Amino acid sequence: MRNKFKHLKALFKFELDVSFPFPRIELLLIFLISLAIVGVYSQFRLVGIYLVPELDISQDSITEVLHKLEDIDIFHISAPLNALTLVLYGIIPLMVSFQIAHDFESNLFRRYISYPIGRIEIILIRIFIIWALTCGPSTLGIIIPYFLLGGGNNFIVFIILLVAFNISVIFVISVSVLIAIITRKSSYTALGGLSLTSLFLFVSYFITYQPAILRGILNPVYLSTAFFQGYAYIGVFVYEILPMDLLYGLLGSLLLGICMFLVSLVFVWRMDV
Amino acid sequence: MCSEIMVSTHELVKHFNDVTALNGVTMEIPEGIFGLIGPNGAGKTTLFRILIGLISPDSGEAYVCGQSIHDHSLEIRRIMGVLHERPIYPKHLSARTYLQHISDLYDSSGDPEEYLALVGLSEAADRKVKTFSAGMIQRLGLAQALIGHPRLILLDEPTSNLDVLGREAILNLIVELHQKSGTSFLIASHVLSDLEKVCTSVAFLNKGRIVKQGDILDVVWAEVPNEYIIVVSNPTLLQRDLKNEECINNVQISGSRSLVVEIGSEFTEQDLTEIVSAISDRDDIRVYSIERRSSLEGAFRRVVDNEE
Repeated sequence: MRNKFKHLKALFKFELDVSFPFPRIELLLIFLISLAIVGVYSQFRLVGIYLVPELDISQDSITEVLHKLEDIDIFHISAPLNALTLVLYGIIPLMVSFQIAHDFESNLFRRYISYPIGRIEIILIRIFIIWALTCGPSTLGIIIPYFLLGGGNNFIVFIILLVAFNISVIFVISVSVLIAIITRKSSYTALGGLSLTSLFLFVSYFITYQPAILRGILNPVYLSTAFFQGYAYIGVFVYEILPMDLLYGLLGSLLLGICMFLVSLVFVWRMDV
Repeated sequence: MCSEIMVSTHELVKHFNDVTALNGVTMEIPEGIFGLIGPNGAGKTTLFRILIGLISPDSGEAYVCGQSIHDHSLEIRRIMGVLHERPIYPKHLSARTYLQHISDLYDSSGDPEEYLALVGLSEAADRKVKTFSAGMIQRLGLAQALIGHPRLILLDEPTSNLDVLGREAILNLIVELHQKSGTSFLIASHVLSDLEKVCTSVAFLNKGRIVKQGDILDVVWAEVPNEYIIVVSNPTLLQRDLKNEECINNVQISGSRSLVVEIGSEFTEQDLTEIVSAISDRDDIRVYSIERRSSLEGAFRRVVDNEE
C-alpha cells in the first residue's frame, strides 16, 4: 500500500512537471477562477434583485415579479454563466488535445508507458488533473460569490449549480477524451471536441421545442441555470424546468459521460501503441 | 530471479491490417549482448514493442526473464530499460530533472548525475532537452534506459545520430555495463559493424521470421563468404584482370573506387594480395587498401539472399 502510494505520488509529480508545465497551468487556473467568480457573481447580482427571500406564491407576488420581467431578455440575464460555460467547453477539448492526443501523436505516450506505468493509470491521472483544473475554478467561482453575496436563503440553488457545472465538465472531458483516443491526433481532438460541444450548446440553447431533459443531458449547466432563473423569477420550481427534469437531465448527462469515459478506457486498454 | 534465458518467444504472429509484421517468430535470447539484425520492415521494432507490452501479438507467446508478457507486463517493465528508435523526451525539462522523475518512478536510489556521467552528458545536466543535439538526445535515451538497474535493456538503433567517437563510447559503455553489472542487452541496429564489435549472439530477422540465430562466431563461420574490399584508382581495369584469375569466384565494382572480391575458400588474403599487386604493377593501378569485408554483414547478406 505504501509502495503504491509512493508510486502514485511519483507519477503525479511526473505528470504535473512533464505534461502540465509551469506557468501555463497557473495562468490558466487564474484565468478560469477569475472568470468563474465574475461570471457567477454577475449572474447572481443580475437576478438577485428578483430573488424571493421566502417562498411567496401568492398571486400578487407572482404577478408583480412577472411584470418586472416583461422587459428583460432571459438569455441576456443568464449571459455571464453562459459565457463561463462556453469558455469551459472550449478549454477542455484544447487541454485534452494538448495533454493526451499530442502525446499519442508524438510517441511520448509510447515512451512513458515503456516505464513501469500502467497505460490506464497514466490516462486516469491526466483526466483527473484536467478535471481538477476545470472543476476547481468553477467550484470556487460558485462558492466565493455565494459568500460575497451574503449567502441568503438560496443555498440549494448554489449547490445545484455546482453539481451541474461539475457534471457538465465531466461530460465534455469524456467526449474530448474519447475523440483523442480514437483519432490520436491533437488537431482532430481540438476541432472535434470544440465542434461537438458547440453543437451541444447550440442544440440546448436554440432548439427550443426539444424536451427539457434532453437539453439537460447535452448541457446540464443550461438546465440548472434555467431552473435557477425559474426559481429566481417566481420563487417556486414551476417556471420552465421542473425539479424532476433537472434530476433526470443531470443524471442522464452524468451517465452518458461515464459511459463514454469507460469506452475510452477500453480503447486505451486494447490499443496498439 | 532471472533464468539464463532472458527472452523467449514462441510462434509470435502480428499483423497490421494486411501487413504481416511477425510471422511465427520463435527464438531464445540468452544472457549477454544480443544483436537483432534485419532490413527495414523486417519486424524488429514490432518485436520490441511486443516485449515491452505496447502491443499485443495476434498469437504466440513471449516471456521476459521467465515472466509472460500477457500477465506480467508491468513487472517486466520494472526490470527492463528501453531506448526507442528516434527517441523523444519532454523538451521543457532539463536532463537532470527528467532523469530524477524516471528514477522516482522506478523507486530507484540511483543519482541522475551518475547516469549522465556514464553517457558523457554531465556538463549538459541542467540544459533543457530542447537545446540538445540529436546525438545528445540519443545519449539521454541511453541514460534513462539504465535507471533502476535493469536486468535487460532493449536498444533500438542506439548508435544512430552519433558521430564516430560517440558511437565508440556508447559501444564501450554497453560492454562495460554488461561486464560490471551483468546487464543483458538486446540491440536492434542496421550498423552491423557496431553489432559485430559488441554482440555475443545474433539473430537475423527477415520478413517477420527468424532466418538464422546463434553465437555470433558460429553464425559468421557458417555463413560468411571469403570476401574482400579493394580500394583502387581504377576499379574497372582491375575487375577485368581479376576475372581471369583462377582463385576469384566473383568480382563486382562497389562505388567509384572499390571492388568487392570473393575468393575460393582454399585461398587466403595473402594470395589475393599477391595477385592484386602483380596486376597493379603491370597496369599501373594504384591500390590503397585490401580489407576483409565485415564478416557479419557478409553473413547477413548471404542468409537473406538465400531466403529470397
